[in-house]
Amino acid sequence: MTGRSDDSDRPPPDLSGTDSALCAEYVLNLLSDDEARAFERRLEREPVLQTEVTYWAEHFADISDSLPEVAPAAAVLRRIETEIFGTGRQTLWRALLPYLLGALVAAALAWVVNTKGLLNTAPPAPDLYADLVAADSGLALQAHYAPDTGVLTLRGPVDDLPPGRVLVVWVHPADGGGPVVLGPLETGVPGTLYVPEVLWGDLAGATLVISDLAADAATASAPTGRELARGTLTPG
Amino acid sequence: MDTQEQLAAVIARVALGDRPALRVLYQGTAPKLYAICLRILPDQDSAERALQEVYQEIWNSAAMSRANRSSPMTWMMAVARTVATGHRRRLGAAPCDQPDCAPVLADLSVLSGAQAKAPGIGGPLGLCLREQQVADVDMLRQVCLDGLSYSDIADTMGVDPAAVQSRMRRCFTQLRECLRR
Repeated sequence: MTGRSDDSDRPPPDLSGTDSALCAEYVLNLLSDDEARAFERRLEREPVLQTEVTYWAEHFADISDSLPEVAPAAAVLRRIETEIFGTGRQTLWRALLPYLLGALVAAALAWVVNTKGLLNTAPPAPDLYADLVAADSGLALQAHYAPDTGVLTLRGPVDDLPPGRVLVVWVHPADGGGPVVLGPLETGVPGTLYVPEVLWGDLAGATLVISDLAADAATASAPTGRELARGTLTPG
Repeated sequence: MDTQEQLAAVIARVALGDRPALRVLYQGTAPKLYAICLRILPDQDSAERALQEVYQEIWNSAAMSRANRSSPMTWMMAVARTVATGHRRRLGAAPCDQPDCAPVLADLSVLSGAQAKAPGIGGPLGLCLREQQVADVDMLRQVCLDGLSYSDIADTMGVDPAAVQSRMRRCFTQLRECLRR
C-alpha cells in the first residue's frame, strides 16, 4: 500500500485524452529527454497537468507495489551514509553508534509494528514534556517525547559549543535504573533523538540530562562532561 | 498515527538534514525501493548502486517531496523507478530475465482478444486492468516494472516503436475512462 494523496481522491480533471496519456508517459519515463523537458515546461504553468501526473503516479504505484519486498545487503546503507556524510565524522558519533543503532532499529521495528497494525489494542501513551533547566545558569530547554514515533525533540536557546564539543542527552529512568545515553545531538538544538524501544515504558517521570562532551571522548556509560541542564518528563 | 503521516514526518526530518532520520527512513523503505531497482536492473550490483543513488536523491530532494503532492511512498517509488530506469538505459541492459518478469510478446495481435487478470495489482487500477486486454497489461507491466521503453518493447517484438506507443496511449485513455467511473 502506498496510501493516497489528497489529489488522487479528487475527481479527475477534465483533460484531453492526449494530455492524460502524455502525463502517464511522463510518469513512466517513456518520453524522450526533449519531450520530457518540453512537458516539464508545460507542467510548471498548467496545474491541471500537475494533478494528472500525481493521479497517474498514485495509480501506477499500485503496480510497483505488487513487487515482493527484498532486503538489500547491510553494506548498502553504510555506502549510502559514507557517500552522503563522508568519512571522518567525530569519534563520539562512532562510539555512540551501537546505542543509536539499537534506538533506530527499535524505532524502525516499532514503525513496522504500527504499520502492520499489530499493536492496535494498546491504549495510546501520552506525550511527555520536560523543562530542562540549569542550576547555575539561565539555560532552559524544552523536551518533547512523542510516544507514537519514539522521537525526543529538544528546543531552546543554546550558545554555540566550542569546536570539538557536542551535546549529549542521557535518561535516568524513573525506576532508579542506571543512566542510559540517548545519543549526541548531531545538529545541536533544536534536534531530535530516537529513544530505544526498551525505554519507552520507562520515560514517564524519568530525568533527562543534557551535557556537553568532548567529541573525541570514549564511550561513556554514565553522564560525563559538563552538565548543562536536567528536567523530568511528565505528561502534558 | 497514519503511516503516511509518519513517513512524511521522517522525510521532513531528513529535509532538515537529520542523519538518524535518514537511517530510519532507509530501514522502513529500502526493501520496497530495492525490489523496484532489482526488477529493473539486470543484477544485484547494479541494483545496489542504483539504490545508493536513490537515497542520495531522497536526501537531496526531501524538501521537494511535499511540493510533489504525491504520497511520500509514491514519491520515493517514483524516484527509485526513475533512477533505476536511467541506470538501465545507460547500461543498455537486456530485458528482465527473471521468472516473474512480464512475458515478452511475440505479436500484438495474438493476444488481443484475451482479457487480463492483472495478478497481484491492487487498487482501482488493478480492477480497471482486468478490463484491458492481456497484451496491453503485459506491456504496461514491462514499462512500469521492468523499466522498458517503447523502443525496447518494439525491438523484442520486431515492430515499429510508434505502433507500441499508439497501443499504449490507447490503453492509457481506456484506463483513464475506467478510473473516472
